[in-house]
Amino acid sequence: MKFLYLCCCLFILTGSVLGQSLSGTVTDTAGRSLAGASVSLAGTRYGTLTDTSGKFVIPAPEGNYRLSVSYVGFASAMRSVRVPSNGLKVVLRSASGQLAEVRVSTGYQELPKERATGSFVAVDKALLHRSVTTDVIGRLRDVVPGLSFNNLGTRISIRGQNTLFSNADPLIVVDGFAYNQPIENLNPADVASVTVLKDAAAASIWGARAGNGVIVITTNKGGYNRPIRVSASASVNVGERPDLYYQPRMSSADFIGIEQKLFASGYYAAAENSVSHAPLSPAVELMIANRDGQLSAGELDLRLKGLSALDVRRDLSRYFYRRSVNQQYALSLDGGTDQQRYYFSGGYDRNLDNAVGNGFERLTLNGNETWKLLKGRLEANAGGYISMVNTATGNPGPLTWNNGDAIYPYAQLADAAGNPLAVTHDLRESFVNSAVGAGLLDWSYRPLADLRLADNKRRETEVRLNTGLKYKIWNGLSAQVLYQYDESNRSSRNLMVAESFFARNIINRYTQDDGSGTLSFPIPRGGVLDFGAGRSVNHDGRLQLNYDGAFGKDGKNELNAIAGYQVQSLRVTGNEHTVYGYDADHATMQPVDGITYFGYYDNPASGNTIPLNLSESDATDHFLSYYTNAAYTYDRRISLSGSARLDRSNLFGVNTNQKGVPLWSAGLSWELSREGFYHVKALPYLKLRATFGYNGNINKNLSAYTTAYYFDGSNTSTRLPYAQVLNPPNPNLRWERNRQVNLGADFSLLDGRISGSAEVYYKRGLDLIGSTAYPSSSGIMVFTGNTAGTKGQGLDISLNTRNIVGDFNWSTAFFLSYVQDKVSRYQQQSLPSDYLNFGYIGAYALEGKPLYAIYSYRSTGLDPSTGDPRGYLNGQVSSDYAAMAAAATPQNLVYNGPSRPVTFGALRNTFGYKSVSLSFNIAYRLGYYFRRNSVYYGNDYGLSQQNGDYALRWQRPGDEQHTVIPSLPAAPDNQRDNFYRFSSALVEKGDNIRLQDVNLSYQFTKGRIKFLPGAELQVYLYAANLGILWRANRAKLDPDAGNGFPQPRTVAGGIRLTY
Amino acid sequence: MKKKIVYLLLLLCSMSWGCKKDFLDTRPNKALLVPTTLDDLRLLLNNNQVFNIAPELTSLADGDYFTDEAGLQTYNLDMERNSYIWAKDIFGTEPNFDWANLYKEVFYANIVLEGLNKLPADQQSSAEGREIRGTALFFRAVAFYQLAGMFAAPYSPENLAQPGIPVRLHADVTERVDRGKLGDVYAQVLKDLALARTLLPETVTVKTRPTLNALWAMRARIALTMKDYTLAGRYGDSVLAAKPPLLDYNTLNPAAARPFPRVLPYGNAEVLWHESVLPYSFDPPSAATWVVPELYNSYATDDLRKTLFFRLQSPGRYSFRGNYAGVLTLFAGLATDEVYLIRAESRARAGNVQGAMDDLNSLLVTRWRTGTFIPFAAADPTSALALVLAERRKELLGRGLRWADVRRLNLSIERTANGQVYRLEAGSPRYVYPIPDDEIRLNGLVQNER
Repeated sequence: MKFLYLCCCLFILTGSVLGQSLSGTVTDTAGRSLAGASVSLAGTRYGTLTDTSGKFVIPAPEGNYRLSVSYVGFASAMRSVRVPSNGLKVVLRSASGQLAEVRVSTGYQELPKERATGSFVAVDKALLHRSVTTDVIGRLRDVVPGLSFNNLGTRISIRGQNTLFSNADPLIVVDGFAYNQPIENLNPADVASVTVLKDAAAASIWGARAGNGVIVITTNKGGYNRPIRVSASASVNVGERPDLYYQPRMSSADFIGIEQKLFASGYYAAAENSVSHAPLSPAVELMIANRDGQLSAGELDLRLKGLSALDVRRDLSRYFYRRSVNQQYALSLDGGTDQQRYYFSGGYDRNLDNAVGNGFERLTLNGNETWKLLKGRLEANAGGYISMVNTATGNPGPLTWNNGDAIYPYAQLADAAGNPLAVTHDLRESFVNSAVGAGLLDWSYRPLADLRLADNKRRETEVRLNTGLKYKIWNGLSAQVLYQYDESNRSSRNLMVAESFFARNIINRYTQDDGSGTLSFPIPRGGVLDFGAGRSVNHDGRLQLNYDGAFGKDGKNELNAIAGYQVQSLRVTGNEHTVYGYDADHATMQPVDGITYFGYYDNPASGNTIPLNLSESDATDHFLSYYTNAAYTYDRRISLSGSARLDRSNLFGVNTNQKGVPLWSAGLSWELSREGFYHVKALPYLKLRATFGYNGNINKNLSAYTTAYYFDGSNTSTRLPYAQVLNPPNPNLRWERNRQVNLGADFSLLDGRISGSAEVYYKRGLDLIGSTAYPSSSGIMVFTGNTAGTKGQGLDISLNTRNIVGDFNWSTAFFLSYVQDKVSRYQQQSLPSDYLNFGYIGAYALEGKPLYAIYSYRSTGLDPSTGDPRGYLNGQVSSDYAAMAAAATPQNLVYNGPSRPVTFGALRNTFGYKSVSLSFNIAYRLGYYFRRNSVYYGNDYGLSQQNGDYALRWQRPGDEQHTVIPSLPAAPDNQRDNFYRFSSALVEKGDNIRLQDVNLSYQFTKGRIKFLPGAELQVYLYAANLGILWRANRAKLDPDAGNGFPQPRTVAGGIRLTY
Repeated sequence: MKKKIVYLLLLLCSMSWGCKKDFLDTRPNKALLVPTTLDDLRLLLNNNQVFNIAPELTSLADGDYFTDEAGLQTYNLDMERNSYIWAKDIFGTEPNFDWANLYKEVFYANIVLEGLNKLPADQQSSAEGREIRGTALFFRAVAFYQLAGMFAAPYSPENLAQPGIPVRLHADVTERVDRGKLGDVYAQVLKDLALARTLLPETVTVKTRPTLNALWAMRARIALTMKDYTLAGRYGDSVLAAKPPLLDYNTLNPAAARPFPRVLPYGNAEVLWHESVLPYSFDPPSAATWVVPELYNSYATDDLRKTLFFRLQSPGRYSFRGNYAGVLTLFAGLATDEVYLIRAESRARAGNVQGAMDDLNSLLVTRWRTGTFIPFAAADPTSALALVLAERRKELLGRGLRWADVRRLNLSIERTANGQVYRLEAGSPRYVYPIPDDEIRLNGLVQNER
């Protein structure tokens, strides 16, 4: 019903007059059509805006008029015209001193930024092309105010995080439809522009999925009346070998020293006699040989010294890592006539990762075409996008031994000639060596050989087809039908060939000895092959009415409105299984018994059935949405905007009434500088904006009813299907909402040499899903419901200056974002130990504090006589860790600060001289903390962690002056370890400023290349991750590196040709 | 023109209301279910990673095992080390999974019972409906009984007013239930089991599900804990009337890594109902946990258990491997041998020396090498009882039952660790484990004084 009303309103408002008319096109000096330019006959009420191809028609009585054409960022034009006349061509010149023309897209409509009330950031093609990455999102790093790349949690967030447990990823929209596939499927060369929607007014058109902000990606399209254009680009990006020595690691000598100490105390006796043939390191084996009289003390010393000199990182760095090489090629054709326009492209990427064995390959084909039919009343388009992505994951990642410990530091992975060597893994060496003699397969573990044998591939093919019809019903009123089909098929295939350790190990492990030495092999010899397949099918359909028109005297009243209805269905299915006895030569496999329980050959007390890894999944997302959005502009001075959306979804277990969530927004903008009373000469352009509204967020894991997960029981001893309770009943479950107020100002001064915008915003997360520790006697340990709220505020400032203009030019782009968010409501406090972590959101939050925060035990250095870490108990210095842990409350823990940057931004300077351009971007992240790793002695004096801080530990009185690292404890004391691990001594400031990247390019303009006179060519060099210029922490750590290594530096070279 | 718009709007409306109901009722994930039908409730009861799990931490405190300093170091958790030396505080701020898992059992059982009450009467009274109710009641009763055996004072008439453990009878997680009185806990256990008696079937397909016989055996075990020896004997009669089989240990292969047949899915005929312990890092046979020498030495040479139950790890150090479940995690369920021992004890305490010896001998003849067993005899009830209790400890080793006997029989234990002598005195307040810290902090339960 409301649509009828809306349409009636639109009709009443339009009320146009028919008669003679004036028609023509508006373009810029380069011949690009300008859509949305204001065209009016001065002194009359006749006026309109140009359409998407820059065309306008003004119905007006016959006569002579003054035609006025204006467009933001361009100098206005006036000229005399006579009505009727057709085919008028108006060319606008870019106005220095005015804002460059910027259009933003919400995914539902495109509008000039000057008419927007909300917070939009547009990133144009030039800026997207400035950096070299495989995916388009990576190119938004350090260029978009309010958009941060995170080390903790989701990869990116827009204006902080507004949810605790629900989806925290911004919604990504490609060509008007929500995109559910990995962003790597999209070739950045096909992207024309990106708009980031930050506040409620900008994003609320996306309703229940807009709570985390929206990134709208628009791909390239052809242009009407444009000759064919060929573009080609190629680049090669080379990255350094990663620095494996970045993390301090325990030396081989220290490691062996601890092993000797443990050996003397009998620590290894249990492992030595274990039924499971627990592994012992080569050093401990030598000590045993010495104890048993097979090795002299002198020889032992010599051999241990030999081991002490080794460092596994040397082999790892040499054989498991390498320089990365990423190649990128793209070719496209585009153009159009006055009846149709087209764009076709192909792209190929090939990445060789830093980790040997890992790679990425992408082939994309893209085509779209738009036709004008029925004398331009009907516009039809069709597009297709195919992407084929192959991913190889052959690198095993960190090597382990002893069932999950980091590999011992003196492991030798290869001999001098580079031949793989065997190392001790999860079984004792003597047992491994006896395997072949006992009739088993070779049981030794050679990681380097496995790396070379690895064959783990994943292939993903995505086909995206879309089509649309747009029919002009009336002046400015059009109806639109859009449909997109997106299908993605993923298959993964991990072949562990017969020679691989995995295959040999599992075959040996399941080998059965009937007691007389006769062996049987439940797993046949041959390879092991894991198959996985997945499919996602997405239908998205939309029916929309658009109105875009001007009316009233001089066309002073402009109305731009849409209303529509959308249906979306996404179904994701998948399955997996494992086969044995695989013969790659003949592609055959053999059946195995997946039912019988077999004892392990290496540990008969243990056993299992042969894992078949059978699984099948089937999930469906359904959405029904109604939406409307309208913007009214008066005299280009004042704009009012409003939007509303109702989403319904198949949220599980909630009855239909509760499934919907209505969300709305309202906004106002006022271009003050157009007012007659505005006379601030210093600030010739000033626009103020204010918006308010709600966005939503979804958590499909919860339900109002007791929900259980179904298991088929194939892995259990009873083989009975069973269910596991996922959440207790929660009749009050609601969707999450985010309320946001955004106040902004856009300005420009000094003839446009300085322009920018400043925005402040206030956010509240309402009805957020929160998690609360529950007493375990309730049957659950964590309760999840709408128990939480957040409060946030922030500031985005961006400033663009053109410092020097001329042959030599210098411009600067600067932005600063300040984000503060805290949990405002959290019903119940959790245990203090839940807050002591590494800055992750974990399962808990604390009222009044940010979601991502670091807490610690207050510590006060080491005990000068024992080297024990010390804290406070009831205000007194104490080393009673149990008592301190027991006395801890969330309030008396030290709150160090947020673990995500509160202030961040970048400063980008671009220098140009004629055709050369040099730009570099300095990024800064301030106001946050991180917890660094240090020794955790555990049960084995730190052997399983191997942290290099061990060497710097307190050893004798006086050491406490220069170290915070505790002494070796007399006996294992997990509470002491935990106290130190979470003490304030290990919390560091994260603040840093880094040289993010540098781009140097040279532009050959048309005619400069003799053999290709019509070509434009750009040649560029781009280097990224260049290093930290300043950091606050004294430990010289890179807060972004975490437990791994800093991002290796990369340098790329490339060309871009347009003909 | 207007017509076109009307058509468009009609199309729009028909699209929006045509298929909405089904479209929004699609299940988001096929692996999800809202338990409402009998089948769903059965699926919950089939979860033997929730049900059929017994507490285990007490086994380190009951005196059947020992370890050394290095062994103690290899245990993963402080609560294991603390349990070994009967420390005043056991858990620190860590949650305890014995407690948490038993209450998860209670939670699941309550969901099933409440779900059942919402079904039509004919479904509730169907054979499946009755079995589901009986099974849920049985599980809930066993969980309360096991919780009381670890976290509340030993059962005795003078302790009835002591704090019990929260008796939660509803699935509502927000309901607050305090510890109540010990007497009320046992009253609820007996009430649940009495109701289950009218509902449970004679036979089941898989031994994780309780039968009537399992119920009688469980009631016998609980009566023994409550020192109601007459009743324990009567329940024992009910089980043994049907002459459930005993394993003849002569048929087992001592060379096999796991000499006992696997209970699941069919397995070991002696087992009445299957339950396994919650795994801890100290669990034999893989860990540095060995049987105390006096216990190992008390098995005669011709006693087959001496070889079937143990594996020599290093001189003087025997791991327990006599796991009735035939798998990795230790068996803690009900088996016929326990019932024989319960009835023998009941008879000995009633002065029926011959009856007690008959039960003991019926059991032990299957445990000794064929032809070597000389039936036990006792001169008087006291020596008969002593014999039965000694054999009880030997037979039921590794099943998590010894701690209840330590508390019931008021035993004291002494051990040395880290060069220090520790003693658990008879009747010590450390017979009672502390309530886990999260319950004290979040639920305000009264802590046990130790």
